[in-house]
Amino acid sequence: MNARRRCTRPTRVALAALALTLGATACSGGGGGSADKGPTKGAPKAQVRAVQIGAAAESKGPAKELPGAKPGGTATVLERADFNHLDPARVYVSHEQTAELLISRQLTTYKQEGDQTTLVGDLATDTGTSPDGGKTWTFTLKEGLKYEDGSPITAQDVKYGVERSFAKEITGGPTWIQEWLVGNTDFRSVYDGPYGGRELDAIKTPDARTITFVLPAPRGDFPFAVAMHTSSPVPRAKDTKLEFDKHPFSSGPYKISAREIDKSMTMVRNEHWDPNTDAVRHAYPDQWKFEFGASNQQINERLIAANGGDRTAMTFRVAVGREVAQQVLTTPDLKARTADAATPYTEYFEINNRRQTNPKIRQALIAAFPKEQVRQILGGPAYGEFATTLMGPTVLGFEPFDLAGVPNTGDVNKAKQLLAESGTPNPTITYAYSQTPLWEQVSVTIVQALQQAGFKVVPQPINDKSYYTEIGRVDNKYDLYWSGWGADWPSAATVLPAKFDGRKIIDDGTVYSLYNNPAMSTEMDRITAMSDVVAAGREWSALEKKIMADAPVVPFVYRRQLTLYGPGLGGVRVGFIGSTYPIDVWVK
Amino acid sequence: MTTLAPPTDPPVAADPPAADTAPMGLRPSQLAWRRFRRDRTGIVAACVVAVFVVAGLGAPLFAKWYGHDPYTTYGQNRPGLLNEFGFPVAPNGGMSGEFWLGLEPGLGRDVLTQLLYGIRTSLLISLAVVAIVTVLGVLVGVTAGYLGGSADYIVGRFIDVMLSFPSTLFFIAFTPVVTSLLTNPGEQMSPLLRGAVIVAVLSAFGWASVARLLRGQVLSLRSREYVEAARVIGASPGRVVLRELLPNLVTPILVSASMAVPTYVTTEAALSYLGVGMVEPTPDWGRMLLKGAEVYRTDITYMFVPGLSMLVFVVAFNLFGDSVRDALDPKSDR
Repeated sequence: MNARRRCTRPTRVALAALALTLGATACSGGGGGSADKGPTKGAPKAQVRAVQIGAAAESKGPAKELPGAKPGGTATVLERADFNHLDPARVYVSHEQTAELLISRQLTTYKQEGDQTTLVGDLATDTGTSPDGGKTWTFTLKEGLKYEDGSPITAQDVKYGVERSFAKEITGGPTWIQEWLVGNTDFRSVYDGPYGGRELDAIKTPDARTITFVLPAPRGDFPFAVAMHTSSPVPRAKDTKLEFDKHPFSSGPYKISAREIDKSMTMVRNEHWDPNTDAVRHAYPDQWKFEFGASNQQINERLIAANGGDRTAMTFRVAVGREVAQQVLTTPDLKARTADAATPYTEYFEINNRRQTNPKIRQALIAAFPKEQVRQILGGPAYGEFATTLMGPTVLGFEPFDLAGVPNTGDVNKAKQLLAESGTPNPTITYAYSQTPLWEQVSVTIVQALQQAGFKVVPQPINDKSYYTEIGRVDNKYDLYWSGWGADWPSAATVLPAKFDGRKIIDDGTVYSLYNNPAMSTEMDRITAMSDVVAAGREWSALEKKIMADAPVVPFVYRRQLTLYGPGLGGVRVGFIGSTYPIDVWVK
Repeated sequence: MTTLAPPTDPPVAADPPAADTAPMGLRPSQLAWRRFRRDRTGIVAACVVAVFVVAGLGAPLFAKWYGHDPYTTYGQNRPGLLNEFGFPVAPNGGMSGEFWLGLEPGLGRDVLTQLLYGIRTSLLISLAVVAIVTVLGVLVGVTAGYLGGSADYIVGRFIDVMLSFPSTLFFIAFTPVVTSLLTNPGEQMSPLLRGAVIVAVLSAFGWASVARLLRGQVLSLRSREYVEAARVIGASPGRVVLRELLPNLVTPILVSASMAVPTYVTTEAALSYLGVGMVEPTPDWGRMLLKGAEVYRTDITYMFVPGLSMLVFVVAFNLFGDSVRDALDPKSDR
């Protein structure tokens, strides 16, 4: 299955700007600071409290007013590239999902107040009810829901929206709901969408405000799955199929008024959207302007300068890169203008478990790996916090543990000792990386560290464009390669089975480590079927420790999202899916 | 060719080696040397160029004496040199008595040895390209010019095509293709082979301009009386080309070669800057600039080091080339 939320690759972050805008205010005062500071300064707090499932009262609109916020004005969003998809059934990349917050609504969504994230009803009055422990899920739509043309949003439209995500033309989006509804990972073979005239009987709509999903197996996570954009309503009459991707029909607080692909886009208010039906979206600005095409470095420099229209500019995903990280984090004025939080993304250096079958060698790789040196090249603390676990701190049931117990700089002696125990003191490791200047530098430090521990390292560059395809081959000839993974919702059910279920090993799959332990797979089935998601969270964490005991990957970092915004905006914060959110933003 | 020394020649007494020779008897090369020595800019430029060449080619020796090499990541191995963002802790890019030009941000390698080894890489590549391009260009240009007729026509049009080709685009598109053709999956390309590929790709286009220049020169020379005379007395074409034409082509060949060196240094740097040149861990001038352009907001020193040195090198080499031309061929106008 191709469902995944892949990290935006840092490779692209670095392939930046040839623009030598000199006359910069750069000083030659050197880096300053000291290298032996204990905790990294300015590190974001990890999500401290687990996600809650909200009651019906919390799903009621309008969203709580924010102090100091006022409506009106135009906010600008700067992105490197245009959105590949805007059809709600086809978005899966975090910044596309973020744009979707403005123009589409789902059955459920996340409310964030302070540290607390709560799952609440969006179109639905609550987060869904299931009388039979997770097999049947019923949602009731709120009253007064309208599209951009004033027509009402009905349960039939939600059903149609889910149905069309089965069509072979509508690709790219998450596939959880589709798989669960038909009980088959090859869901298109069971039902091929509404374009052939067939309906999906597993979804029932007895009236215009009630929708019921009937699943073959219980799924406690269902309310989380319908927070993804697959559950967005689409009226049959407005479905333009592939054209819908360029100009979707809005059910959210804004609608697209002008769009020049790869260049710009403008969203204006959907005056039929009723704030009283919406518990999370504030929609303060009158207008959103999107500009595409600048490089990451240019965007960051524009946001630092904040001239003219850039005063009210922000970005959904252009992270503060290594080139400006120090300047931003050590200048109070700039640091005050950042949105900063831990994200659901965890990055790994995957070990090919089919080639490296000796667990001692895999443990030695973990022990020798120079996490700190690599992070220093990628941007230091702005890049993320060091990881020792498989799932990130935003996942329900996350419990930190460190089985390897080595310093972040790597422990050469421990690695040597493990290699001696393995019987092959000098194993050959092929390290594959995407061929960009940034990853080439990373390879220098990895090769050096592993060689010190006694490994024989063959660095192997791979074309940037085909990186994931190459490392995704089941018969790849590499031993160590980077990858990133983000949870689709705060449950390990979207992390561990996707990354470590050996039955899912296929070409271009997601189990890049090719880790296959049937005992673990069986355990995953058992926990997935649990209806109590909090209890399941504890079980996932216990299972995670068992998997980590096999040392299948080198956990690298929990990614941090750090983006700049202009001084003319308020309410900019990092949202639940790890991008910077527009829904609380106001123009000062 | 005998030329009278220009009337501005210094008095013989000021020139001890030439003291016992009358100006009348000077060979052209001696005259050129005299003219060159009187060109102060040329001398300074030549010294700068010599420093660069010695520093570049002698980089390994210097590194041995200096105690650092361009591959060790000092900043990462030793705490206290780089801060948590990967930038040097000390001011001015981490310049110190130990690391004279500071440390590279991120990896923490020594900038001075990186620069010297980078100069070495760029210089060796550009010298190799210039050698190949000159030999090829002379062969093709002289042949076409001497044969004339349809051979000249075909070669001339081919040169036109080569010259009108967008060569930079071609380099960017073609270098990765050659690279992937020459390496097996699972193997890393050796720096030597990669350098050879860059030399080959640059030479593939570079010969055309040399060939065109020489073709023109040969066309005008071959109708001169002394060539006609040689032909009339039955000299073979080989003798005409080697003994009559080539000695008179030395000047344009030398001038074009000396002007080409800095051009290829910058082209090679540009290729690395665009990501199709030499790769890590081979030190490279262009790649240093690329990284400098990235980190200039926090560590401008790192951008100045390769930037200024390249500026000085290119200016010096061009001035040197100008002086060489003035010395060899004083009648040509700038």
